[in-house]
Amino acid sequence: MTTLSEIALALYLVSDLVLAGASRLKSAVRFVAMQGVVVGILPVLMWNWADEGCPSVRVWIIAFVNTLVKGVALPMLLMYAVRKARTRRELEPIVSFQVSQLIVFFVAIGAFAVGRLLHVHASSASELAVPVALTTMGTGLLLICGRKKAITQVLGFLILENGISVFGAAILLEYGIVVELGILLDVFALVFILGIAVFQISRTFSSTDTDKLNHLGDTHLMHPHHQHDHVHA
Amino acid sequence: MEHNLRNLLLILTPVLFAVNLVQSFFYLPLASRHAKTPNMPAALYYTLFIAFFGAMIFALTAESLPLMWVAIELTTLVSAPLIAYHRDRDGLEAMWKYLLICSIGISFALFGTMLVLHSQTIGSPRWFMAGFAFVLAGYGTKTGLAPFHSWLPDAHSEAPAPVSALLSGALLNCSFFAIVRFREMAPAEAAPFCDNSMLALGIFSVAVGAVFMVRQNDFKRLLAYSSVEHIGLITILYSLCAGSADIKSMIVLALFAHIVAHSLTKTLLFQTAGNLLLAFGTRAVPVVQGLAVSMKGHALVWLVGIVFICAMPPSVLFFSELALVFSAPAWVSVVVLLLLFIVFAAMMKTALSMVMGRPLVKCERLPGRLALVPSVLLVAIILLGVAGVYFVAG
Amino acid sequence: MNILSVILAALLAPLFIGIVNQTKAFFGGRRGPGFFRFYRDIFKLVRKSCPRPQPSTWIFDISQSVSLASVIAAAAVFPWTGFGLGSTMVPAVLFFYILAAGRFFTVIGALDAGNAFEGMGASREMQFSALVEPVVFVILGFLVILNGDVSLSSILSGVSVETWRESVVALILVFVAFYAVFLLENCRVPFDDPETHLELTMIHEAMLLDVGGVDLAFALYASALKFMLLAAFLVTMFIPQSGNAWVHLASVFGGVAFISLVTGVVESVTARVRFFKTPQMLLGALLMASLAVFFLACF
Repeated sequence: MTTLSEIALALYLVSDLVLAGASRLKSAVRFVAMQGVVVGILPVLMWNWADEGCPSVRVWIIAFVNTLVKGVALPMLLMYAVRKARTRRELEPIVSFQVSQLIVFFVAIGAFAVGRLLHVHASSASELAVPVALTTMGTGLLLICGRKKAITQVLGFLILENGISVFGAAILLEYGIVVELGILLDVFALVFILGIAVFQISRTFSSTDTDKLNHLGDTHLMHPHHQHDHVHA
Repeated sequence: MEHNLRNLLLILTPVLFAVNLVQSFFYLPLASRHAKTPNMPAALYYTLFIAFFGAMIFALTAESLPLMWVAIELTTLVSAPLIAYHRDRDGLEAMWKYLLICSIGISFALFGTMLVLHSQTIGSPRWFMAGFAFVLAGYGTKTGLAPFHSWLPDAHSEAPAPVSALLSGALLNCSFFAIVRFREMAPAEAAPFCDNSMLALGIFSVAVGAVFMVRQNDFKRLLAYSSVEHIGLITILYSLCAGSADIKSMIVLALFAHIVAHSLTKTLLFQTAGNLLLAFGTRAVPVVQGLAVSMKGHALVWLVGIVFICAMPPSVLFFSELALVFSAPAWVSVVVLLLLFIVFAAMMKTALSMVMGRPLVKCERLPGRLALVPSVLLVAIILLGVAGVYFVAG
Repeated sequence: MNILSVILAALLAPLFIGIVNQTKAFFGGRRGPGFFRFYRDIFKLVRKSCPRPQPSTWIFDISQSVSLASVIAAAAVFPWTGFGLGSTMVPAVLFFYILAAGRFFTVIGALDAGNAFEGMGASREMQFSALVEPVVFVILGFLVILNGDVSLSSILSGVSVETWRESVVALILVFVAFYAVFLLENCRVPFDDPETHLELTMIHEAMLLDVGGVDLAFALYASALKFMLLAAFLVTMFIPQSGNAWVHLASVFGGVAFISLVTGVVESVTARVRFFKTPQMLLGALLMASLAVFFLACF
């Protein structure tokens, strides 16, 4: 089953490049959902069916809940936030799409170079785990830093999170069902709170551009006009 | 070492929580009286405040490393709404930055945790070093180590005073403890890498804190940068004694003393800063002047607190920083001393300009109960300092 | 055998366009024109005369015929059964340049007609073909590294199961990149809409505005043949080589039918991208192909 899981990891690389160039919010969310589904079913794909038979209930539960949360619930939540906050359905780039794709390309090459330094020794774990995880994390960071809207930062965070969990799944790390569900719950709650924050930001600032979120800083109390609106802050 | 630090923090965190909870009772009604936008409901505030404390205790007591990650992420989640207590633009902005930057950092920490766990199963120090780098960057973000500190001044300055105090006094220590746990697991080959990277980040944090304190016009941000500086000092102290089994050695004691003294003093200062904010309605240093005339009691507490956080002799911080300078390599001592001098000059200049001079604006009279907790803390810190003098002398 | 397979391919070509359209009709909830509509269209057009726009010259007259001839030539050298007519001697680059020659004649024919829309379509066609060329070259480079020879039949000698196992990531990346090339070269949906009737947005169809009768039949048939040819290229690149020529031929046609089906689905679920996004999508394809070459060379 190693080949199947490697195809899944290759899909991650493809989707990273596509996401770096995606200009429509909706299609970007769709690709993130696809990544979520892939990371959800990865434990089942990685399972050594020939030697160990059918996976235990634990594996099935984690795969199911992961797919449900990362592939369905979080993307839906994100689309709901988009609708509620009435943001435009375009990703406005700070770093142009072409440059973003080039960056992801070089990140991928760098990640594979790093992956050669860090050999995965466990027999069934995939060689691709480290490079794919690093590339996906890089894509996530790129979307967080290189796009204007607050909602895209949430999107980038989800990609980052997908990259990390794809690593966990691909090196067959197991730390018990409580911890895995705890991590999932944390991520879910975080995206939930971020969604609410996006909504409040759009209401308070009448925009979700992160350009508007640069008021705080080390010099802002020096401007004289500002002291007045800071009375009883 | 890890065990002792955990016990110390398990005592310290509840104390800080209790102190700030009491101060919240006094502070919040006045804060809502002045607010232009409707503040968070008090019930929600206290729920989140207590949940924040619970999450920190969870983080300190969690045995497995991924579970500790869950707990520390939980502290971010429950404390973020507290930062946007005043539901205004700046509060929202600070909360957004806090949530996003800390979550990204924490994600890196999760990745690092996975790498470290994998390194244990395959026994490879190289994997451990990669993992530790991610953990240091990840939990370092939450700890406020430069260059990952950018959320800290915003969050500390926008949050209400008791929350700022708890963030600075307790939360930073908790996430520092997470780094300590990983360092204590390091195999011998990876240990020098871990210590050196911590030393470098520590010195850089002290430097960033020092630079941004100079000409700082916002007294809550001044305290926030002081936290960055002190977390840097704690990291340097720890990198000098990491992995040592002898907890009676001078440098380990200095580390513990520094953590306790910094937490208490910083709580005192943030609470006083909150009171000044209530009285003047601004955090701008040029506006707040002549405290010695208008608010004698607060002026005294503020000045003594600043003197103590700058590690002037009766303070415990003096002894711990002395220990650092004696036991560190020579170039580290020189650099740290130079930076501490800048910090001292910057903080004293600001504090004196606030205390001295003539009042520029009329401030409101504050009820005496607001000064209760800071005064108790002041007495405690002085007693601690005196005890420190006896300990060192005898 | 070889000649027989080329004739078979030439006969089957319009059927695959029928598959695409029928799939789209199915997704759109329509009954659809049926699989054989394209044949009927061509027969209808062949019986009509060719009108010729006023200012045009003999270049306009010959352009569609030459373009069809070049696609037929490319089909002739294609190794349908594992070996084509002299395809061991034909370098793979030549195959693409034969196709490019056909494109060149379509373009100068369109320019010759003297219509503004056709000039615009021609300019876009050339712009995209210039952009798609580096992607094709990188993919060819990948195949050459994989198979060790530049001739068409050897780079299309397929990928064995072992190679799939060893470098699945690189193969998938190349597959995606070539599929993007395939869609662009055949003017399919994310890049161009073959069914649009708005001159401003058309690319390929804009060049055929003044073409009618037999010439239009030639143009439509050439596009169907090109669709099948590139789909067959994509399929032959990746299926393992079997000893039997008939099995190979059958699997190629089966694969092309599958690709047609997939294309129908893709066209149904995606919207056409804006014009200026196309270079960026091609850049993505180029990067995927380069990444694949990098993996193959270094791992």
